[in-house]
Order: sequence, then C-alpha cells, then structure tokens
Amino acid sequence: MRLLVTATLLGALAGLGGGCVPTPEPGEYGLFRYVGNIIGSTPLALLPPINDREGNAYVLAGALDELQLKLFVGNRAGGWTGSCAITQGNQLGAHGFVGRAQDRAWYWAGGALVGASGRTGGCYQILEHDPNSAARLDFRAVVPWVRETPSRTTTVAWIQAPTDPRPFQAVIDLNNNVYTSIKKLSPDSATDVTVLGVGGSLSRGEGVVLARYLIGEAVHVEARFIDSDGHTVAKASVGGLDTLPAYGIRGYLQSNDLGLYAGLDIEGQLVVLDSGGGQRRAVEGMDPVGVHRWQGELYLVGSSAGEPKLARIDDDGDVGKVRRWKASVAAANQLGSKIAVIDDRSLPSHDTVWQGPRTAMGAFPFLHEHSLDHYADGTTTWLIAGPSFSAGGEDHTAIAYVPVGIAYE
Amino acid sequence: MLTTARPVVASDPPAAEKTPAKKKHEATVKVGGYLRPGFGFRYLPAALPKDVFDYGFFGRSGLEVEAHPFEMWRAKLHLQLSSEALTAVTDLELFDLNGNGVPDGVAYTTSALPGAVLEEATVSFVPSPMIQLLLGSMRIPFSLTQQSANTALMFPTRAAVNEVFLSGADLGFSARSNFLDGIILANLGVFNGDSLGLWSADTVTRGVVIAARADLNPFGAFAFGEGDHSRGPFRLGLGFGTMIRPATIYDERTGTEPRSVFDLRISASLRMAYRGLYFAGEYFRRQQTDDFSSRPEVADGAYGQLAFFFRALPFLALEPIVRVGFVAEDQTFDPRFIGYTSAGFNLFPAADADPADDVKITLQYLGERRFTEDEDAHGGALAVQLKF
Repeated sequence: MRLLVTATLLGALAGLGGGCVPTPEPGEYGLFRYVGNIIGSTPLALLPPINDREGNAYVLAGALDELQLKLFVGNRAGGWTGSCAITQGNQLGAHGFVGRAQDRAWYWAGGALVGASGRTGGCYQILEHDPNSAARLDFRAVVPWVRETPSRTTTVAWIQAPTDPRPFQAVIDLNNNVYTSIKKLSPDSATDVTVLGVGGSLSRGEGVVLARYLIGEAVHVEARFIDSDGHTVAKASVGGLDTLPAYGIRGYLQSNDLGLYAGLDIEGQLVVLDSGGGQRRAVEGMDPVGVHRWQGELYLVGSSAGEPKLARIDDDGDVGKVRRWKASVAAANQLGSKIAVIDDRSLPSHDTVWQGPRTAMGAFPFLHEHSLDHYADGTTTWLIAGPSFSAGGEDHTAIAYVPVGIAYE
Repeated sequence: MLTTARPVVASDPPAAEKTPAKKKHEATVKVGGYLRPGFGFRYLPAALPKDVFDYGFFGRSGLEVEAHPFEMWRAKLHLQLSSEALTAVTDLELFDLNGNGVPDGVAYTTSALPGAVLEEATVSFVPSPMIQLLLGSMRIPFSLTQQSANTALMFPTRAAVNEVFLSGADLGFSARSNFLDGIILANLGVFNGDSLGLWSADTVTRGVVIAARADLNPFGAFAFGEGDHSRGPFRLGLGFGTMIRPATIYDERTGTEPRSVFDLRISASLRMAYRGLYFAGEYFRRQQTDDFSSRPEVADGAYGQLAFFFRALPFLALEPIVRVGFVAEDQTFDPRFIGYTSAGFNLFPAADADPADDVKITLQYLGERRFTEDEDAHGGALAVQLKF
C-alpha cells in the first residue's frame, strides 16, 4: 500500500512538473507544411493565414487587385484542400478574412462573403441571393469579425442588390444563412455611397465602416460605429479622405483596447479615428506597409534602409519611434539555406527538403498590410516560398504554412 | 439505499437440512436505484426566437446492483436511464432550390430518444479492507465530484466546471487504498481515456490515461458526497488529482500520420464539514501539447459550493445550496471565459429516516454567463429524487 501511495504522489508531482507551456522564441519556426503551388513569383499575392479554434488552417491566395483567388484549408490533423475559388464581381478581389469560429472561417472577396469548413475543406457562399427578392446581393462592407456564441454565429455587413440605391446595414446569421435587423443606410438623401475601409473590435462588440457619400454636391466622410446587433451607435467625421478611392484603406482598420482605430491608406498615410472623429497623418521614418494589432496594441509596420521596421501607435494615434523589427529579422535569418517540409497535401504525407526558402509575402517575414493571426502565445502563422517552376507559360511557386514565434520588438 | 436479497437457487437444501455455516461467506446481492423526475425551464435572451424560452418535464433514473458472491470478490452495476439520452435523425431530405440538379442543402428532422448510460460496471478484488482493485467501467477518480455518487450530489448534476474537464465513465483499472482509517486515501489507475474528449473526430487515438489521486483527511475519515447530512464533527479534506496521457494520434481515413500528443490534467480540492455546514472548492487545469501544431491548448477552471443542512422539524430538513464557478478555455490563443452560478435549496421530507436524503426535493436556479461573447443563459428546475 505504501507503494501505491508513493506512486500516487509521484504521479501527482509528474503532473506538476509537466505543466509548463512552451512558447517559441521570436523567429523560431514550427513544422513547415506544404500548402500547394501558387501562380507567380515572390512576393506572392497571399494573405497571412488564419486558424479556427480547433486549429484548422486557412490560406487565401489573392489580393484586392487580383480577381483570381484560391482558398486552401489545412486540416488540423493533416491534409489540405484547395478547390475553393468563390468570389463575385469583376472589379475587386480578396478583401481579406472576416473571422473564424470553432471549426469554420469566412473570407470576403469582391461582393461575396464565403464560409469554409475546416473539417471538410468545403466552402459556400453566404446570402448569394436575397431570400425575399431573389436578387443577387453584393457585400459592400463586412465588419472583420465573427461573433460565435452558444446561440448564434454572426457578423455585421452592408449589403446591396443592384436595384437598391443605397446599401442596407444588417446582421448576417452565418449559421442559418439569413440576415436580420436590416436597416437602409441613412440619410435618405445620400447618394454615391463609397466604402473606404472597414474595421472592428470583437472584444468591444463593435464594427466600423469608413464611408463617403454625397448629399447634393456636399461630400461627407464618416466612420460609422455599429454594434453586434446591427445598430449604428456613433458617427464620426473624418477629414482628408475626399478623394481616396473605394476600399482605399489597406487591409482593415485595426483597433486597440481603448477603441482607437488606425489604418494605412493606399497613398501611404495613416488614418486614425475613434468615435469622436478622425484625421489623416503623414508617416515618417519608414515606407509603411500596414497597421497591425497585437495583444491589444497597434503598430505601424514597414521598411527602410533594407530592414523591417515598426513603430507603436499610442492611444492618441501618435506614431512612436521607428525601430528595427528584430523578430522579423530573426525569422528571415532562421530560414537558412534549406528547410524540411512535410508534404501533406494528400495523405499519407511524406517529407521533402526545400532549397532557398524565403518569405512568400512581402519583403520580410511578418511584413503585410493585413494584421497577423494570434495563433498561440507569442506565435503567429506565416507562409514560406519554396521551389519555383514554369508550367503552361506561367511561373508557379510552392508555399508552406508554418507557425512562427513573433514579438513586436 | 440498497436492499439486500440473497438469491434463492434450485440446489438450495430444505431449511430443515441446513447446518450452521463454518465461516462460509454468504453471497449477497443488493438492488437499489433512484428516480429523479422534474420540471425545468431555460431562458436565453439573445437566442433565436425558437430558443429564447424552453421548458418541459424531464426524467432521469438509475438502477444499481451490487453483488458480493465471494469473500474477496465484488461486482457493481450502475445504469443511468434518461428520457432524452439520445438524439436521432429521423428524416433526411436533400433540396435543390434552383433545379440545377445540385443539392443546395440538407433538411433533417431529429427526435429525442430514451436511453441508458453505463455509469459503472466493475469487478473488484478486495484482499483487505485497505486495498481494493477494480476493473471495468467507472468514473475516473480525478476530482471530488467524480468520486461522489450521483445521488449524493448537492445539485441534481455535477458542477459544469468538472464536466468541461472530464465527463462520464471510462473503462480501465483502478487500485484504491485506505490508509489510517480513511485519513489517507490513494488512487492509481489506468484507463482508456474516452471520457477526456481528446482531439477531433477525424483522428484515432492510441494511448492510455494514467490517473492518480491522493486525499488527506487529517481530522479523520471524510466520506465523498456533497453535503453534511449527518451533521457530524469537524472534518477537513485536501486532495490532488492528476491524469497524464501520452498518446499517438492517427488520421482516421488513411490510418497514417502518427503524431505525438501529451494531455495533462490536474485538480486540487479543499473541503470541510461541520454540523451540517459543508464547503468544497476545486481547481482544474487541462493542458494539451503535441509535436506538430506549435499550439498548446490550456484551460483552467474552478468552482466552490456551500450548503447548510438543518432540521426544521423532526421529519423535515432543509439545505440551502449555492455554487459559483468559472472556466477559462483556449487561453493560449483566444481566451474564452464562462461563469456559472447555481443556487437553491434541498428539502428532505423524510429526514427522520436513515439516511435522511432518501427523499429529496430540489429547487434551483442555474445561470451561465459567457463573458467573452457577452451572452447569458438562465434556467430553473424543480426535481424530486427518491432512492430505493
């Protein structure tokens, strides 16, 4: 019996001893998984991957100015599918990922909102047609979060049929493929509604649509703050955006924990706003690429002098000191001259080695107009380019998905 | 309450021919159980209209059989029966909205069906009062509430926090010891691990759970069970449980892709009782790591529950009860906080019997607060429990 008691206590101690959660060092890579081959050469038109709660991976090949796109879905336990290419319209490509739930994720491309299953790899278009009129619906703006609760899975969007003079603001029920709380955009006299950018904070239950419209000859630029029930809770005028093209905010507007939103426009200026108003600011000290959110803080990221740079955006929207982004440099250095890759595009998987690995997106690892996914403590996911080859007169490049340690310092 | 009935067999000699047994073990079979019907409601203010308010009657019962056929050998069977144990798909239809021959969706109908759940089915070898070796299906003795009988719970169900970390029975082997007349209890076991809920439906797991638990009751034996219906002297219990599962998972479809996973769960408990006042608190932690995802899964949870049992009349006792708990899931990537609140009271209309809780009427409120998603659920239930 003493043996039993001793073994029990030893087991308990072993349990305590194993209770440390490993966190990678900045730039430290996990397992490289072969996603597929993408048309083009580096830097490729790709979005930073996201993951659902179960750990299934979503890789979207595309960009706002690329009409073609392809979604790859990596099962948590291995295997990839890459047959989803749903979009809508011939003006715009992929806006970005909208959000994720337990085992699903959604992206917004052209005028389409598309859901994908991490379990099966399948995808489907949300509300392609209005259930009432059967008219084709365009998603003009989608708040980039998905609110998953025990009773509903929703997001908030501006939707518009070809015959509608203005968009409607609605809550989109992603489980039941219906819209609720629908309201026509006010004021009734508004014309030429142009969406400049979208943002949102899931923790605050808030979305933002930055839009411009005309009332008569007068130009109005407003940030409209929407709650998760689809109600407009605040409107704020934003100056300096009278001529910015539609969807002129790169990626999405990102928010800090205090409700400050910041985004980089396609003219290289920083747009900063909150419910009290907003303005445009010039950026100095780097060639800016985008605004990232990490652990409740905002960072402007870019490059200068052949190095990745970052600067913290404080709670007043001021840009701090421009610094070398050490984690990005470390991630580039860690790649070395070759990497071991698991090719699990179809199972059973096999191991392979890639020579000359490099970042698949941007000039440096982590440098992207879209914010990065919080994959785990101190970890995001990134895409690495491998061998390139020509087929059918086009260049193709192999890409691999990998978790990697990150810090904004 | 279990009733003893010695089985009568055809080979039994007539009573007149019987001779006094020479220390021969007399085989016994005890049959008992419980019924717990009730009425409950659930209110979800943020749900779809059809789910906002739901109510109805429910029923749950248990059947327990304990056999002691040989001196050192025992068997126990505990079946839990529920009027809505299973949900079955009873109708399925593919529909095509635009007539293009490609199905646009699936319509299906489900029905709730009664069924039985195996709570315990064990064979045990008891070589001495201090050692018990069990083999079969049982709840892994990982936490306080896991070791309490279904009929000895403060509320009709175990703490929701416990069910997040471990739920139901498991097949395995357990060695249990009782040292210094119940002052030290130790448990060591090996189980299949089906009650841990490891990994997704697309994988097959190979690897057993090693479970250990130690309980220290410095003021003397302290039986498992929620409440102090005997209104006994001061008792204190400290406990610590752990489960370790080093396992290999495989892709279910191809049977390949071996990946190593390590599942660790720990619990710690404190309980005390004095003259009808009972308090118990438990803390849980779950941590899953593997060799390929670089994403540890970590969850923490804790609950505390308090009860005070007193006699209002010689035959009538009351027990106000309250329980508060929380769970923090997915802590390494997207923490989700859930709070639980339950409160109510138990009424014992046959408190002059021994034990006093053979008949128990419970009126309770249940609340769940999803802090991260900003959503609430409220419920209430009135249940009657009768043990026999």
